[in-house]
Amino acid sequence: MKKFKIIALFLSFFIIITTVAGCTQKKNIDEEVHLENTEDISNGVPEEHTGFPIEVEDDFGNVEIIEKAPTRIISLAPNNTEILFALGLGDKIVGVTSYCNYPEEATTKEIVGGFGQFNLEKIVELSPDLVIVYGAGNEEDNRVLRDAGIKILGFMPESVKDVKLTIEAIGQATGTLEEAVKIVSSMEEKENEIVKKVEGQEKVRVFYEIWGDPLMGAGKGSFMDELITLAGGKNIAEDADGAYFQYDIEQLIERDPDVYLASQGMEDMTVETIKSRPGYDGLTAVKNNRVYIFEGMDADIVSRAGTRIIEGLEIIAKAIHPELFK
Amino acid sequence: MKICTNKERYVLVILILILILSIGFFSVIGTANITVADSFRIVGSKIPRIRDFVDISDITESHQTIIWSIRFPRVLLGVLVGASLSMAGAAFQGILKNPMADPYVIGISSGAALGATIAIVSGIKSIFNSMSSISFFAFIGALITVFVVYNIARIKTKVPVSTLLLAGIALGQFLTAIMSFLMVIYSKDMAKIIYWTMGNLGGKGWDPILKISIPVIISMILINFFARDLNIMLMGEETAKSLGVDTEKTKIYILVLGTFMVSMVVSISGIIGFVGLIIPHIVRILLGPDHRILLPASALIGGIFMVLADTIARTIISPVEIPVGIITALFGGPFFLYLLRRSKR
Repeated sequence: MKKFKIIALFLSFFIIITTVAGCTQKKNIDEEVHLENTEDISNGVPEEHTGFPIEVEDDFGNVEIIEKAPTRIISLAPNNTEILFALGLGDKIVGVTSYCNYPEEATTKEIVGGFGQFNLEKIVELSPDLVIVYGAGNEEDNRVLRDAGIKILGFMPESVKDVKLTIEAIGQATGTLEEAVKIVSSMEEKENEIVKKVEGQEKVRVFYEIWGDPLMGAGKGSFMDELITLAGGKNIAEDADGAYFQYDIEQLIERDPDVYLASQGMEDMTVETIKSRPGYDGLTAVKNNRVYIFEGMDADIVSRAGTRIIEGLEIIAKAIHPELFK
Repeated sequence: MKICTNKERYVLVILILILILSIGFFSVIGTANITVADSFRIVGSKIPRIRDFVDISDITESHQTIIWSIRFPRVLLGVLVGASLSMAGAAFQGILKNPMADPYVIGISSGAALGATIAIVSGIKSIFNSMSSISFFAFIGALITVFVVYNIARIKTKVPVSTLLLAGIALGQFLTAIMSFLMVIYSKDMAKIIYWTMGNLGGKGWDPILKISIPVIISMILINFFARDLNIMLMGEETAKSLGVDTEKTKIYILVLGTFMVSMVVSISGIIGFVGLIIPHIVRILLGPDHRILLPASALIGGIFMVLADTIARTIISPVEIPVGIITALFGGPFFLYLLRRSKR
C-alpha cells in the first residue's frame, strides 16, 4: 500500500513536470516559423499575401485559413489594439479589453474582458471573424471560439524585433500588409536614427523600477531592458533572470546606477519621494538629479509591445542621453 | 514580576545572547562585497562611546549606506516582526485553546491585505507624510476587521472561543473574496498585491522601526503579564474562573494588545505567514507549555528565525530577492514536521 502511494506520488510529479516543460518549449519553434514569414515579406511578394484566402500562422504554430479580409475584429490585448488602429482597422474593431486605452478611440469600443479573463459569451455574441489574443490564449476558450467558427491568432512579442514581426503578421491576416510594411519601415528608420545617435557614447548605467515597495526591477527579457540597451545604456539588473522581479536594494546601491528610471506607481510617488528613500541619497543618479518617472501614458509606451515601442525607445534614450536630444 | 526557576531564567538569558549574536552575524552577511570587519566597524562607528575608537574613513560611502541605512535596520525590523508575530501567536493559541490559531486567525491578515489592495489599486495619496498609504490602509483594515469579528462573536459580555474563531475565519474568507475580486478587476496590479501579501522587509530604512518599536515592545511586555492567567486558563475556563481569573478580561486584553502590535508590524512588512503559527509550537516542544517561558522564548526564537529567513531571502538568488514569507514556510515547515514527529515518539 505504501509503495503504491509513493509510485502514485512520483507519477503525478512526473506528469506535472512534463506538462510544465512541454509548455515552455513551444515558443522557440514558433519563432523559426515567424522568421520564415518575414523572409517572404521582405522578398516583396505582397500581391500573393494580401490576396485572400490566406494562410496565417501565429506565434504558437496555429495555422488559420482566412477566407476574406476580416470585417469584425476583437483584440484581447492593448498592444494588439494599438497595432490594429495603426493599420487603419479602427472601424473594424468590435471588441477590446478594459486596458485598451490607446488611441483614444479604443475606449469607445465594446469591452469584452480585462487582462487574461474574458467574457466568452459576449465575444461570441459580437460575432467577430477574427480574434487576436496575447500569448497563446486559454486553450479551452480557444476551442469554444473555434467551434463557433471564429479565427484566433495569438502573438506574444517579447522584443522589438518580435513586435515588427507581429505587426506584419497581423497586417497579413487583415489584408493590410502594405500598411504594415510601411509602419515597420518607419519604425526601423526611427530606431536606426536613435541607435546611430547614441553610438560610440559611453554606456550609461541604468536601473528601471517597476514598483517601489517591494522594489521590483526590469531584467533580461523585459522591453525596458532591450530599450535601455538600444538607447546606449546598460541595465544594471540585466543579470537577473525573468522580466520582472523583486530586486535586492543592497545590489542597487553597490552597482550604483547613473540614471534611475521608474514607472509611476502610487499617485504620491514623485522624484522627491524616490530620492528620500533610505539609502538612496548616495546614488549617483540621485546626486546628479537623474531620476525620471514615467507617468501613465509613457509607462505604457515603454512596456507595451505595440507600434509605439520606438517612441518608448526615444523616451528612454532622451532620459539616458539628454545631451544628444536637444 | 514572577518567580522564575533558575533553569527558566537561564534559558531566556541564553536566548537573548543568541539573538544579539544573530543580529551581529546576519548584519554582516549580504550580497554586497563588504568584509565582516568593515561591517562591524560601520555599525560600531554609529554607537556612542565606541564611535571614538573607530575610524571608517577608508570605507566607501556606498558600503556605509548599505550597512547602516539598508541592512542593519532591516535585520532589526526582522527581529521585531518575528518576535511580535510569534508572541501574538503563542498568546492567541493560549486564549483560544486552539493549536491552529495564529496571529492572523481573527482576521488581521485578510483585513490588512484588503486595505493594502485598496490602497494599491486606487493609487491613493497618503494622508501622512511619514507613512505610506499602503501601510496606513493595511493597519486600519486590520483593526476594523478584528473589531467587527469581536463584536459579531460577542454575546453580551462573553466571547465564546469557538464563535470568535468561526467569525474570524468567515469574515476573513469574505474579505479575501473581495480582495480576489479587486485583483481580477485590476489584474495589472495583481503582481504587486501578491508580492505585498507574501511579505517583505527590505528597503524600509530606520523610519518604520523608530515609529513602531516602542508601542510594539510595550505591547509585548504587557502581554507577558498575563502569562500566569494563561497558564491557569489552560485548565479550562471554568476552573480558571473558580481560581479567581477574570477570563473574559484576560481574553480582551490579549486580543487588543496582540491585534494592535500585529497590525502594526503587518502594515510595515506585509503578511508573513507561518512564523506566528509554528514558532510557538516549536518552543512548546522544546521548552514546555508554561506561558511564563513560552511567551518570551517565542518572541526571542521568532526574532532569530525571522532574521535567518530574511537573510536567506535576500541572498540566495541575488540580485533577485525572494519574498520572505515563502522562505519562512519553505524552511520552517520541514523543521517543524521533524520536531513534531520526534516529539510524538
